Amino acid sequence: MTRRADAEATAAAADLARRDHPSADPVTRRAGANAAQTGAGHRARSGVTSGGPALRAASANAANPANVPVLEAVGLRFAYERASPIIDGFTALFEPGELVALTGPSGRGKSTLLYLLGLLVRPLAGQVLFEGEPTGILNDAQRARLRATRLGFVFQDAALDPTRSILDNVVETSLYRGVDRRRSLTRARALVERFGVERRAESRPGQISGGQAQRIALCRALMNDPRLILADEPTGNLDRESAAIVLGAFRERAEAGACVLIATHDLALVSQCDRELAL
Amino acid sequence: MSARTDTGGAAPGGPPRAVVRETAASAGAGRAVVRETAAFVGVVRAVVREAVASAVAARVASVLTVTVVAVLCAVVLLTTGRTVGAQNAIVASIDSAATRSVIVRAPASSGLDTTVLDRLAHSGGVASATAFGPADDVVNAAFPGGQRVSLRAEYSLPVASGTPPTAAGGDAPASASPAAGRALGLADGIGAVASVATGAAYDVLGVRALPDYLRFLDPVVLVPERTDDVPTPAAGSAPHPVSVLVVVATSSAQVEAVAALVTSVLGVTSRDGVTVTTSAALTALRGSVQAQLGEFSRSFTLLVFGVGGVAVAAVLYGLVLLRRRDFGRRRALGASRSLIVALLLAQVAVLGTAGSAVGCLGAAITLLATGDPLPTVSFIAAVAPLSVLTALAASVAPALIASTREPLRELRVP
Repeated sequence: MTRRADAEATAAAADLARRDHPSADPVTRRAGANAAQTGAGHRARSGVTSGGPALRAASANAANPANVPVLEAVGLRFAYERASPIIDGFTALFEPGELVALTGPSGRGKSTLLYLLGLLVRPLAGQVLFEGEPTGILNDAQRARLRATRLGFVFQDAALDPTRSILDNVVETSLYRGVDRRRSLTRARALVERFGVERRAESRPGQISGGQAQRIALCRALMNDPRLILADEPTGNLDRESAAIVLGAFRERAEAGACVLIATHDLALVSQCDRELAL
Repeated sequence: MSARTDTGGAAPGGPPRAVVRETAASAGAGRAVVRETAAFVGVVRAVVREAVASAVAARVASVLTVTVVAVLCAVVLLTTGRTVGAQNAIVASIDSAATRSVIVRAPASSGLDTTVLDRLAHSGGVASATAFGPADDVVNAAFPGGQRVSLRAEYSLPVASGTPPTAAGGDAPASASPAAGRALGLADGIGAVASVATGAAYDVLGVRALPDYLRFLDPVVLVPERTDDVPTPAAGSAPHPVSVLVVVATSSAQVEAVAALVTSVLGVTSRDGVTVTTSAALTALRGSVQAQLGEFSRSFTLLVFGVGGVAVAAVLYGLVLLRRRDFGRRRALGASRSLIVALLLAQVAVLGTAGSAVGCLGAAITLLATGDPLPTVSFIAAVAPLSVLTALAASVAPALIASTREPLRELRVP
């Protein structure tokens, strides 16, 4: 299955390269340069040696790992059991420092796409490349390790463990990353202090507001200095002030070289992103 | 021109460079092993810590799991354990000298005498040997017309194993069995008896309960003879006649061999009327008790563990269903499937250990309070870890189910 998906992804990328198509199906409303880079990325991965600016850009990226795209999606297809595909042929490139809004009507597959890009589910076809490396060949433990060490998730309802304290929630991923808990606690305290929830550090999630819970989820996502942050409606239940704090943290992380992908309906949030991918 | 020695590039006086490289590589490998071991220990500690924290956090599920394992342990100990305790008591009772005795009855014409004791004294497998002389009818000396009871001389010798004689032995005074004391009308077994045939008188100075394997002599008055009175061939004196010889083997398994030995060393002049009896029926009973009760115990234990395992699995499956969102979140945040399984198994191990301790303690207190036989320490020591293992085995399937929770399904907000 994985090999077939890889082969299909490669074929899709080659096809894109031959047609010199700047971008596949999702509409790229802004940032045409990014769309061009998307095509370049596909050509580079497909091994087509047609030359030209895109290939040269890819070669430059290979020479300098800091310029390697954080994430590439190539011809992704996914369907829930016997239903028709909710995502079909999704191809996109996500660069370091980008804040990308993923928009679209409900049911169009925004969350599903986030989970695909976050390596939580495997596509039926297509390929996800993280920092230039194909992830389809990784086994469950390797994908889990990648999620724990390089990715940060912020879920719509924060998804905190209601039975554990705020600090325990923030340091939860240290177990999955194999990092010493005491060392993680120091960083966790610094993060909760930075986001103004240090007074509730020993509280349970049920004792704090939705905005505070989302900030805690943000702290948890930032614990590993992620290269990619995937946020599913992170400001959906937040007031303006909390939303600004969350967005500020995302922007800061992007400026540090990460890529932030946000699935949202919040137009105010979309307007502050670098580009929008509409499904 | 000076001679040049190849030192392998080593510094003068130092080891060759190749050896240094090898030593450094070996030290590096050693450090790597130490690092890996430390990392593994760190992971195990982190997993156990997380498991304990999860167990404390999910109180209801934890209490249920502890209760199921405790009940599992207690049921095994209060049923099978008690049966095993009773079985041990029965077997111990059977294993008393009764099942280990070999009884020889010989008429006077056979020529069996006390020299047989000397021959048996140096034989292996013999715990004790006691010879009884021919029966002599006696009556209470105060009531010549009273009820007659047999009187026998009793000869006992320590044997090679050093086991003391089972009967009184030595120069102890004559004693009556309880039945003989009643028949002779001796108050508290004290008085005098007289031989009906010879008129010889004997002082009886007490009642002596007979062990099981001598009950066939009852009612009887026994007159222990001094051990140094027992003649030996070396002493050259005439031996005393023997009509009953009781030999006790050191173990049930030795009975047949001892019976053969006794038969071979009897030294009788005629085998007519000589009978050798072993407690084969009791030995068979012992085997039967062990086999049947043992089989029952094993079957019942398996049944209880099976039912307990299903109960643990049901509780844990419920726990997994309740915590499916929790497992989905963990998976999303980077927990691998194997880590989820390890976390759940560690949690069950912790709770199972607590449950088995509670169950064993509760069962032991109950058995002590009711006065029922306690199973052996080794039995309890086996049941406790077996309960934990049963719980662990039962939790594998729920743990695997937990590890396959898809974050996509569990974390989506409707």
